[in-house]
Amino acid sequence: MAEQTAPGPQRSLTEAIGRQAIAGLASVTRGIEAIGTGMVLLVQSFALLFFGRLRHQPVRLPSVVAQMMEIGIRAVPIASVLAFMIGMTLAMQGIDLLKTFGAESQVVLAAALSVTREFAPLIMGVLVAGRSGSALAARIGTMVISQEIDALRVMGISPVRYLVVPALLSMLIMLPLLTFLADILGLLGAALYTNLELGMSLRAFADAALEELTVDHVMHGISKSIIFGGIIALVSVVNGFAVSGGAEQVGRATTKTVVQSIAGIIITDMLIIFILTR
Amino acid sequence: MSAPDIDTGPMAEPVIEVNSLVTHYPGNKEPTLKGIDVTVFDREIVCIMGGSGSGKSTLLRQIMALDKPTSGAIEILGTDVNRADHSEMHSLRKRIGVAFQGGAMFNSMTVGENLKLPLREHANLAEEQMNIMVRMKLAFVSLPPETADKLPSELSGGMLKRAAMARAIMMDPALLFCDEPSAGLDPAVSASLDDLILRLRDAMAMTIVVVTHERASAFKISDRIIMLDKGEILMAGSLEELREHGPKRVQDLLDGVPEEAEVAGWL
Repeated sequence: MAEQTAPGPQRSLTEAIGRQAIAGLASVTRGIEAIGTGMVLLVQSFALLFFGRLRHQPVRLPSVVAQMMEIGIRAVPIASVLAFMIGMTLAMQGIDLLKTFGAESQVVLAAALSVTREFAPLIMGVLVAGRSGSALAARIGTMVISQEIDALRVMGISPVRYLVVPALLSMLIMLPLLTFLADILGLLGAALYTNLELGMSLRAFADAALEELTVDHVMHGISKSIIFGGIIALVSVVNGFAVSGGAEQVGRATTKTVVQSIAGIIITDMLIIFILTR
Repeated sequence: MSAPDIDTGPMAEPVIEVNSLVTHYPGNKEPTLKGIDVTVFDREIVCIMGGSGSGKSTLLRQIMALDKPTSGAIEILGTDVNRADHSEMHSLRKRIGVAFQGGAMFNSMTVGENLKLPLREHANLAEEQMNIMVRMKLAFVSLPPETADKLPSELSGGMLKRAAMARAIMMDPALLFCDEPSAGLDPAVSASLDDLILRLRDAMAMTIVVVTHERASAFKISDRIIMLDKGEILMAGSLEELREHGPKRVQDLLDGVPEEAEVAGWL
């Protein structure tokens, strides 16, 4: 009936809007489902971590150490380079900007606060999301399509205990450690550039930085990195377990993981700052 | 429809009992399984056969307790899987072995580590004891001991299936499930895997459930065949019983003759 009364182009437009609205609603529903799955996995992970042994599902230390090596230790070279570069860049921008007010020496304050409170956790989060989050999603996704997850289950091994807990734990431990490393190397980069540009000695930079920085500043960044680690781990495992079909889906899950993790990190960062600055 | 009673000897105990099993996936108009009744007896080799979409893989997943049914009861080795608690399921899992279609070996581990995984999880054995058991199981499935040091990606299709079989029997299970054990293999390798399945039953006293669409393989190894079609059991019995009493659709499936509607779809 509708086809007879509505002109072709109008029907197409209405149909297109309707389809888009349905698709939009469906993706919102999927998003809520994914958040719910993530929360369930988080609760299950901590339950298995503390009470797994009672359920014949003990978390094995070697698998946690292996994940910590992969997520943390093997990321140290690239994390160091990035942190150092970010520190130098901040110093370059800071000196150039502060030159206008004749306050170049204040670059220490700017670099110290921005590295520890903002850039170190953010850059390390982005790095780990791209490097380890994507690898985790791809690993789990591949295991789903090759029935390795089913194989774990029929062997009586909880996939959450075997795959999620070590990854989550490693992210929660290693991302703050990488962030702390990035704090030191970022400040070193800033100090080196300031030394070259303003002739300020490394010792003088360190003294000034330590005078400005408090434990709270450092812990602000470290605390955020713990939350970012949780976000990356959960986004990765949810996308990994959601894979169905073939290798193409694994690729999509990997891309989604990186995009969603980075978006999650940035949004969470903004929310934290908004709440803390009220 | 239930499987006809067959003479499995005076000592035969039911190992798997499935009653009125219905599986209806959300979004599907029709249930995938429509009230299945299956009984598998001790030391039987039962082949589940059927065309594409008949529900044989779904039935296998339900019996392996990988998915929950919509309704119906499944009892495996005396455990009601719908009501079993964690401890009971854990005990049950140790008595079940599964050889998946693609092997499902963990690609990041060597074959030896793959085989040791169930032992690490369920048995408190020293490394050397585990190595001995790995060599024993590899020998049982006719793989050389050096296979233990290889990665799954370095194995041929037939070797991978054997390695998967070796992992499935690491805990000496009472019940073994094989999903398409000879799919994608050449006839000679396929025949040798059939012999291995027979040997597993005879030497290790296992009950074996095989999902297959390889007719020659099913005819060779099965004590009984369960013929599925569109989520229902068309008939269950020995090959002779199916040949003798089976309706036309059963005969067609045994002969590999496609349904008329299926042919029309191709054209």
